[in-house]
Amino acid sequence: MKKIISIFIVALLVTGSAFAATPGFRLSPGIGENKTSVQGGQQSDPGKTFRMVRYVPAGGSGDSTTLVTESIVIWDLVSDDGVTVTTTTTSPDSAVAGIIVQAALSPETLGNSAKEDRGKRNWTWLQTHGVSQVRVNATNGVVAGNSMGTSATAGEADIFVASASDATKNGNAGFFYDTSAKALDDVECFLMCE
Amino acid sequence: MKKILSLVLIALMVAGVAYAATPGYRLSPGIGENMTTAQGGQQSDPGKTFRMVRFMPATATANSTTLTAESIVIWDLSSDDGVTITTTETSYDSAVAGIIVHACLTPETIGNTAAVDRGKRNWTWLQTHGLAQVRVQNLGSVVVGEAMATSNNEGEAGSFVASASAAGLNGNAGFFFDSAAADTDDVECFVTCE
Repeated sequence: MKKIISIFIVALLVTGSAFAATPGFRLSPGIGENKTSVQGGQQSDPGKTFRMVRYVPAGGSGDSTTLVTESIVIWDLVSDDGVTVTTTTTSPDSAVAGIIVQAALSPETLGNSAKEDRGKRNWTWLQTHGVSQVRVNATNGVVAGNSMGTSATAGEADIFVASASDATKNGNAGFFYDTSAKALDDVECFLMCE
Repeated sequence: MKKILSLVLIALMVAGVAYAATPGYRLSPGIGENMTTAQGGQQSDPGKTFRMVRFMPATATANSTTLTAESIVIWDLSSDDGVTITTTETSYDSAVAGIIVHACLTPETIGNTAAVDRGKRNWTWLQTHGLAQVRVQNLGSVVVGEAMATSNNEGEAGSFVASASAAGLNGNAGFFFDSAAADTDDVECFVTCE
C-alpha cells in the first residue's frame, strides 16, 4: 500500500513539474498589470473594463425615460464629479465616457449629489474598454474600422472625425468592429475610453 | 438542538436570498474588470488610475526646479522606457502621459536609467484616468467640455484641436470639467490617458 502511495505521489510531482514547465501561455508579460489574469477570465476572453456610474438625464427630469442598454454616454459636465454620466446630442462630444451595458433608470430626485444618490436606482455599469455593442445613429451608416464618437442623437454612436477647430468636438471613443447601416442596434465596437 | 439548527439554516438561506435579490448596483457587469471594486472605493467615488513614474527635466539639469503638482506631462522620448516622464513646450504633444498629482523633485544625477534611479527622489504619481486638476496655460482660456492637451507652456494645459497633417501633434489627454481664464491653477478636468 505504501509503495502504491509513494508511486502515486511521485507521479503527481513529475506531472506537476512537467505541466509547470510547459512554455507558452504561462509566460509572464513582464512587470506590470496583466489584465487577463486580473480580470479572472480565460486567456482567450476579451479584456473589458467597467466602472459603476450614476446616470442623470440630460433633459433634467426625474422619473423620465430609462436609458437603454448599449447607449453611448458622456461624463456629465453639470455634476462635474467624474462619476456621473449623461447623454449628449453633440457629435462628436469631447467628454465621451463609454457605453452603458445595463439599462439605467432615471433618478427619483433631481439635483442630488452622487453621494446623496448612493444606493438609489440610477446607478449602472459603464464599459470603458474592450469589445462592446452600441446603437448606431439614424442618420449615417458606419464602416468596420471607422473611429467612433457620439452622434447628434442621444445615446447613439456615429463615426468620429477629429476637429481641427472645435475643441469640444474631439471625443474619440474607439472604433467600430462591424459595418452597419444607420439606425441599427447591437453593432459591435471596441471601446478605448480609459 | 436540531430545531435550532434548522431555524438557523433557514434564516441564513432567507437572508442570502434577500441579499442576492437586491436590484441595481450589486449586479455584475459580466466578465471583465470592475474598476469600482478593484479600487476599493465607494459606489459614489469617482474612479481614478495612478502610475508611479520617474521625472526627468526637459532641460536635463540636475537639482533644477521642482515640477509642481497639477502639471501635465509627456512620456520622455529620450529615456524611451515607458516609465519616465518630462515636460513639453509643444502644444497637443502626441506623447501626452497624464497629470502629476504630487510635486516632483529633479534627479540628483542626470543620465541615469530608471533602474539606476530606483529609490531616488525623482519619482512621483502620475494620474492617467479620472477626475483631476490641472494648471491652465497663460496664452488662452479654456471652456468646459473642451478637449485637453499640452500647451506651449511647460506643465500647463490648453484646449486640444486635432491636426490633419502633423502626427506628433495629436495628443488628446481628456477634457476640461471647468471653464477657466488663462494662467489659472486648480482647474478641474478629466484625464483619459490609459
